[in-house]
Amino acid sequence: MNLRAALRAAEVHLKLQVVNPLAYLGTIIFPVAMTGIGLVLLAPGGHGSRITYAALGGGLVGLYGVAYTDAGFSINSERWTGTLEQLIGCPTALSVIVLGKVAASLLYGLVAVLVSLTLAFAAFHRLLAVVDAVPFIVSFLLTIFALFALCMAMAPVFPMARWVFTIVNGLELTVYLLCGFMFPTGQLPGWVQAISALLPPTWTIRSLYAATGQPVGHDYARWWLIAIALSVIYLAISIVVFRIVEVRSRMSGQLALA
Amino acid sequence: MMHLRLFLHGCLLQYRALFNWASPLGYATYKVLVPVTQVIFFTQLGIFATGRGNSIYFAVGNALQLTAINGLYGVVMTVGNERRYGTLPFLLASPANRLVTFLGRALFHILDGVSSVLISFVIAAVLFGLNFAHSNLLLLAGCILLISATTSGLGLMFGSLSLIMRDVLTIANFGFYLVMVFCGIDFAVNRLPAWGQAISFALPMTRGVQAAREAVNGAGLHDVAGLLLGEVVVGAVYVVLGYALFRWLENRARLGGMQEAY
Amino acid sequence: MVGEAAVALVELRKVYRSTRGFFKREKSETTALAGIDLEIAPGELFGLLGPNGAGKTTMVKILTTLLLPTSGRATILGHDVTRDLGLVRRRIGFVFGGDRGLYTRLSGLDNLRYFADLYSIPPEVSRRRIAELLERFDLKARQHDKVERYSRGMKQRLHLARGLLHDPAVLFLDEPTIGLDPVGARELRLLVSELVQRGKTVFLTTHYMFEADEICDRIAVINKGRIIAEGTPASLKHNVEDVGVVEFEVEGIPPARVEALRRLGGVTSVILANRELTQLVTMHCAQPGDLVSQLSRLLEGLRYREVRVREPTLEDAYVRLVTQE
Repeated sequence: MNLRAALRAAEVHLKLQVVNPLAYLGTIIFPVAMTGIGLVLLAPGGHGSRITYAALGGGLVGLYGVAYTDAGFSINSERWTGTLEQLIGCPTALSVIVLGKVAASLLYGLVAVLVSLTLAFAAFHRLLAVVDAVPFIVSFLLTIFALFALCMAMAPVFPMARWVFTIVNGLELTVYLLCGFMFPTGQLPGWVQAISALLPPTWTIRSLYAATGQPVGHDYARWWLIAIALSVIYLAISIVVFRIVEVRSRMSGQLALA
Repeated sequence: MMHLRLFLHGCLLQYRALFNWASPLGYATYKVLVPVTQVIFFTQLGIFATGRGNSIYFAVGNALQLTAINGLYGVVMTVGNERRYGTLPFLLASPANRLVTFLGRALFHILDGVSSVLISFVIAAVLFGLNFAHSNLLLLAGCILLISATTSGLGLMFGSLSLIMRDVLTIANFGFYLVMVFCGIDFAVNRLPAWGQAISFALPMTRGVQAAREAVNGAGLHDVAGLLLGEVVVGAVYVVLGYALFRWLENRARLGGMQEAY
Repeated sequence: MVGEAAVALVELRKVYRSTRGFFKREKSETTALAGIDLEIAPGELFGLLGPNGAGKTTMVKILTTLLLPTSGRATILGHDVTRDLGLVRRRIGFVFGGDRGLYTRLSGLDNLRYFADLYSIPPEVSRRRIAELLERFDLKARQHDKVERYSRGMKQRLHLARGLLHDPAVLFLDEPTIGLDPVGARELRLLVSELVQRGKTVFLTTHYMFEADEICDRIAVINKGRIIAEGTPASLKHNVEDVGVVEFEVEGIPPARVEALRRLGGVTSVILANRELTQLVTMHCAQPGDLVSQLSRLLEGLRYREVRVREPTLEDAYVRLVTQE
C-alpha cells in the first residue's frame, strides 16, 4: 500500500475541508444540536448519569456524521471537480486515496466530541464520570477503528448509482439508531438488535458507555474481539467493492460525469 | 384561468428543474426512508429519556418537523440553485412578475411537505400506535398545511441569502437543525432558557406544532386560534423579509455592487 | 510487430450499452469504436482528428486505462491496458485539460505534490522535478496561489506539468490547446514538440487542423468509430490534390442558395463558417476556375467579397474524408 499517498490524500482532504463550511456544520452545529436535544431530554428527572449519553453520544454522532458524509462524497466529490479520472488513472488504488480521506475525517471529526463534551460541561459543570480509564481509552480507539471500517465499506457503495447514493445518504440516522449512539440498543426490538449486532460500532460504543458506568454489562474483551473481527470483515468487503466500482466505472466510462 | 394554469405549470417546472432529486426511486427514498429513520431515532431517544408512554409525543413532533426537509432544503435549494446553475440572470432579465416567481418557488414544496408529514404519521401509527380516533382531523390538516407554508417562508428567506453565499447546502442544513432544536419538536420550548425561548417564538413551526399537538388530542379551532394566528404572522414576516432581500439583491446586482448575486 | 510499438491497437472495439425507462426498459447500443487497428512508433508525435462523437475520446480513455474495451486489444510499450494496469499507468501521462480536473482550492504546488505521491515518486526526486516543471511551465512565481486564481493558460500548463511529473514515456493529450489564446496555444505546441525531441511518444487529439499539420509526424482521421485515413500530413493532403478550393465571404446566404451551390456539377462539398457579421463559404470542387465564373450569377442579390481560389489544406482533406463517409 502506498502509505505516502494515503497521508498526502489525508493532507489534501484536510486542506479542502478547512475552507468548506459544511465541515464546520458537521463538527460544530450538528453535534451541538444533537447534544443539546439529548441534554434537555436526559438531564432532568434524577437520571444524572444519563447525561453521558447526551454528552458523549452527541459527540459520537457528530464524529460519525462527518466521517460518513466525507466517505460518501469521497468519490463523487472527485467526479464533480473533474479529478476522478486522474485518480483512477494513477497507479495508486482508489481505496488507498479514500482511506486517507476517511482517516482525516475521523481526525478532524474528533472536534465534534470536544464540542459536545464542552457543551455538557458548560451546562452541567461536570465531565464524563469515567469509571474505568483503560477500558474507556481502548473502547474509544476501537470505536474510531470501527467507524473507520464502516465508512470504508460505505464509501464505494455511494457512487454506484444515483439512487444508491440517495438511499445510503438516508441511512445515516439508521446507524445512530442501530449502534446505540445515544441510547442503549437493549431497548430496541429483538430483531433490530440482531441487525445492530452486525455493526462493529455497536460493540465498541457499548463498551464505551460501560466504561463510564452505564448499566450495560462489562464484557469488554468479548465486545472488543467481536468489534475487531467485524471491522476486519467490513474492510475486506470494502476492498472488494472498491474493485467492483473501479471496474464498473471503467466499463461504463462514467468517470467524468457530474 | 389561463394565468393560473401557466403559474402552476411554471411552479412545477421550477420545482423539478431546481430541486435535486434525480430519479423517482431517489425521490421515493427520501420521502420514506428519511422520515422513517428520523421518527424512529428520536422516538427511541425520547423513550429512553422519559419512558415508552411518551412515544407518541416524539413521533408526532418529528413527523411535523419533517416539513422542514421541503420547506428548508427544498426551497433554499430551489432558490439558491438558480445561481449555481447560472439561470439567475435570465430570470431577472425576464418580464416575469417577481413576487409571483418568488412565491412560486415554494408552492410545490408546501404540498410536498404536507405529504412528508402524512407519510410520517402513517409510520408513527404503525410503529408507535398513534391513534387519531379522538383527533380533530380537519384542524390537524390545517395545522400541517400552515406549518408547511410557514417553514417554506423561512426557506424563502434563507434562499435569498443563498444568492450571495456560496454554499446553499450549509444554510439549508443550519435552518434544519435550528427548527429541530428550538421548535418544540422533542421537548416543550419552556424547557429552554429564556434566550432559547426567544429564538423558538421567532421561528415558524413552534406555534404550529403546539397547535397540531392540541389537534391530535381533539382540541377545537377556538382553543388554538391564537397559536395559528401567531404562526401565520411569523411565516408572513419571513416571506416579506425574504422577498425584500431578494429584490434588494437584484437591485444591487444591477447597480454593479453585488456581482456575486449572479 | 505489436511488441515494438509504443502504442498498438488490434481490432479494438467499444460498444456502449444503455437502458432507458423505469417500468418498460428500452435497451440501446452505441458503437463508439468499430474495430481499430493502429500502431504508433516510439518517439512519434501522432495526431488523431475527427468530428465530435467520432470516437477520439473513447480511444484515448481506453489507452489511458480509464475505459475497458468491448473486444480487441491495446498495448502501451507492450503492456496490455486492461490487465497490466499498474505497469501502464506508471509509463503514461495524460492531460485532458480544461477548467476541471484540478483542485482549485489548493495551490499549484500542492496539486503537484499530491500527484507526485500518488505516482509514488520518491520525495527527493519529486521535489526536484516539481521545481523544474514549475520553472519550465512558467508557474514558479504563482506556485503558492490557489488554482482558482489561475488563468486558463496557466491551468493548462499545470495540467501538462502534472502529466509529466513521473516522466512518462508516452503522453496522451486530449485537445490541449482548446480554449487557449493564440499565444498560449503556440507556446503549448512548442512545448509538445520539445517533449517529442526528448524522446517521448505523444498521442494528440485536436480539432485544429493547422495544429496537426504543423507538429504531427503522422495523423489518423477517425469517423463513426473507424479510422478512415492515416498517414503523414503531406500524404493526407495528397488525397485532395485534385480538389480545388473556392472561398468567399457573404453577408448572409439563404439555405436554398447553399443547396443550389451543392447541386452544382463538380462540387463535392460546401461548408459554412459563421464569422462576426459574415459567413465564410468554402467550396471543394474539381474545376475552381469554372465555378468562380458562375459565382456572380449564383450569388445575385447577395453581398459577397474576397472570392479566392487556394491550395487545399489538411482541413480540406479532412472535410473531404469525413463528408465522403
